[in-house]
Amino acid sequence: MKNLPVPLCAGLLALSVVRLSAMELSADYHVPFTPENAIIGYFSPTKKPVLSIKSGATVRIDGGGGQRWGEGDPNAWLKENNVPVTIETCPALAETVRVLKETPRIEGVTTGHLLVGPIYIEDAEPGDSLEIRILDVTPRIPYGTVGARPGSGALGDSVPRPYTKVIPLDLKRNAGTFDDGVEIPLGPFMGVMATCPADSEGPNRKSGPPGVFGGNLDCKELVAGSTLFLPVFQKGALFYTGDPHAAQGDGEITVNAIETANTCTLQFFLRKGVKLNAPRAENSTHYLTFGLDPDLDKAMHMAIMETIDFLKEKQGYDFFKAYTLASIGVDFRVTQVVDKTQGIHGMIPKKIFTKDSDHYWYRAR
Amino acid sequence: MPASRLRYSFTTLAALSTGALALHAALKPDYHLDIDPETMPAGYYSAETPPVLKIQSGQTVEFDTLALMGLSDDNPEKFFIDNNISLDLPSVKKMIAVKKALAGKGASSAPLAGPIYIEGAQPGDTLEIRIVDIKSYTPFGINVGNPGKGGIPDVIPRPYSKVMKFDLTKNTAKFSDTVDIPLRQFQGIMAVSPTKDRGKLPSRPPYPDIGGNMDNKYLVKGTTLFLPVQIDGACFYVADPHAAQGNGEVSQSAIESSNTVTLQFFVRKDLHVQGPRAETPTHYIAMGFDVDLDAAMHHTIVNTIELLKDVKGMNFFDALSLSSVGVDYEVTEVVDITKGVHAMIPKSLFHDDQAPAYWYKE
Repeated sequence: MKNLPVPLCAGLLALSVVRLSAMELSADYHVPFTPENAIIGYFSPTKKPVLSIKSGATVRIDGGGGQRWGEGDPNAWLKENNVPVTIETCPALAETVRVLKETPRIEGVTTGHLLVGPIYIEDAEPGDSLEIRILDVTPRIPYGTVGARPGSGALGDSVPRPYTKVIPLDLKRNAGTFDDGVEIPLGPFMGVMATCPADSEGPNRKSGPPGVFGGNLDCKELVAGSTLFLPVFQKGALFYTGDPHAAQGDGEITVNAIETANTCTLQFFLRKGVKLNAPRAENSTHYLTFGLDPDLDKAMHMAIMETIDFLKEKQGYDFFKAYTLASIGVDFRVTQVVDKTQGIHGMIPKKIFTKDSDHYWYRAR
Repeated sequence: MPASRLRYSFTTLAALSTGALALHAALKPDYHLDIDPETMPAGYYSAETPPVLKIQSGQTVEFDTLALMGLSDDNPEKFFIDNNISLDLPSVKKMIAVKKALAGKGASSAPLAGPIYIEGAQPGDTLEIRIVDIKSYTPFGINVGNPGKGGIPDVIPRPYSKVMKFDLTKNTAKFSDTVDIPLRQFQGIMAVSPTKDRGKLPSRPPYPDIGGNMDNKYLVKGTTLFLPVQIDGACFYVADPHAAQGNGEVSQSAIESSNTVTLQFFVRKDLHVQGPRAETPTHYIAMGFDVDLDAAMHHTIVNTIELLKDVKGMNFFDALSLSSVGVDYEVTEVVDITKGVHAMIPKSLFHDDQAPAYWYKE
């Protein structure tokens, strides 16, 4: 995660500011949500790339979601839940209906995350890493849903019946209306961002549990203005994204964030020869490390080790100095406990490094 | 009491009581509890330890709490000489005297202050502890780690320690030439006494009912802690002063450093918490504890839902959903045998919050 040379950074920053100030972000490419571009529930190393790009390119990717109508009639469900759109008036919902109907399935994987990809990054090879700058994430539909099911989520044993709550999204005020007295500030992000997993993860790796390739990290910090770094395992990296969220708490305890449909605009940089053992991230105030394991204690162990490795690399520290700093200056949070492989992330505040100058591409407004 | 009648009661009744009229800024403590090695319980909580002080609900007590980590029993002066800290500082003199008096008593690196008997407190009541003030008592602190302990016990090759000097005007600790840690002083240990049948409970792990070594970094000045009273008088303990810590406390210690802490106590007959809860100017905090981090997380979720039911009158499903989309779960500590997870519930979610102004403003 070493910083780019200063002139390049300054140039990119200027470019980004111009882009971010526009309501509709311009991007080099647009990937619409179609059955050809979509894939449901798994990552494929053999699916034909939807796009092949050079390092530095920006891509606007439309995602799908909002399909809580299940087997029922979408328009009837929307009306019943007082959502003021129909399939005919809301393109994102029409696309979602078509993708659910026409996207080819493989044996054993009939449902799962609505994903888009892969995007092929030229010259990317195993052993490199992919830097993904999240320029923008915006919900495409005027609602999101949160729900719980018996046997699912962190408290599955205590949930007596299936339950869904529809949350209207007010994008102007950046808020989700939970009820008359409760409002959730929105922080839209993509639950899934992945490079195609290594062959050792098996063919057609399901997208439910996250892994060292990223995937279903469900990390609420990965909003616009943050950067995700993923190790590359396949030629071309083969980037996938999906699982759009409008807001989530650390933990994601029911197995649902505010599930919605997002458009995201991402910029990709190939970091040649920069080998990572696990995902890392950065925003304008923090560096992030991740620990992933089915056992939360082991996920915590991994997050501590990743934090120590990061501090050793960044500061040139020995083990003891990095370990001490991790104890007194780094916050460990529960990313999610509901995706089989659970997550802990370490939040390393940039402000503790008194001599660092700020070259980060995005500044919180 | 039905949940609806408990709504908003976290702050309402106490705010109406006399104690709240004495604003914290102008508050002169009713008592100062001096450090007395003769009466300090060494490493355990027990219903049979005689109280060192009896107070009324609403009164404030100022405590000096000592961090003696890094000092050896036989030569406590060596620590200060090695680290270029003057032996003439009054706080240093006191640390050396207390360490010598406690030598050989066991668990002497974090002596407990207390217990304080609060008149009128009975089992089933809640003890509300307002953290009116916490200041560093010394301008230095220490962080340590040992093989077999902490969050990565299998990886630590040898014992180590690091002493940091503070800049108390900037309220930072100097970690290195390029790293400053902002200080956020808090007490690792706050507990009520267990019932007599539980005997002597060791003070190292936290407990899901009486609190104890919670090591929760949010228990700073301006925070309120709620603990369920187990015996007559509650019998409150405080100890384990910290100058700063990350969520997780992964090396087994924070910046261990002596504090002077001022606490105000209220007996809440109207509240019946089952375990530790806290409130800050911006958040409600639910907690869960277990030797297994997965189980600690599970307890914290259950306790968050109970808190949302009690304080906000929510039903199970709404409380569950809100916990998923609006509440942040963080790792409190993974190093005190019993681990902790806490939930941060932002007050800003509730725009119908009719609770009167919280007693402390940031």
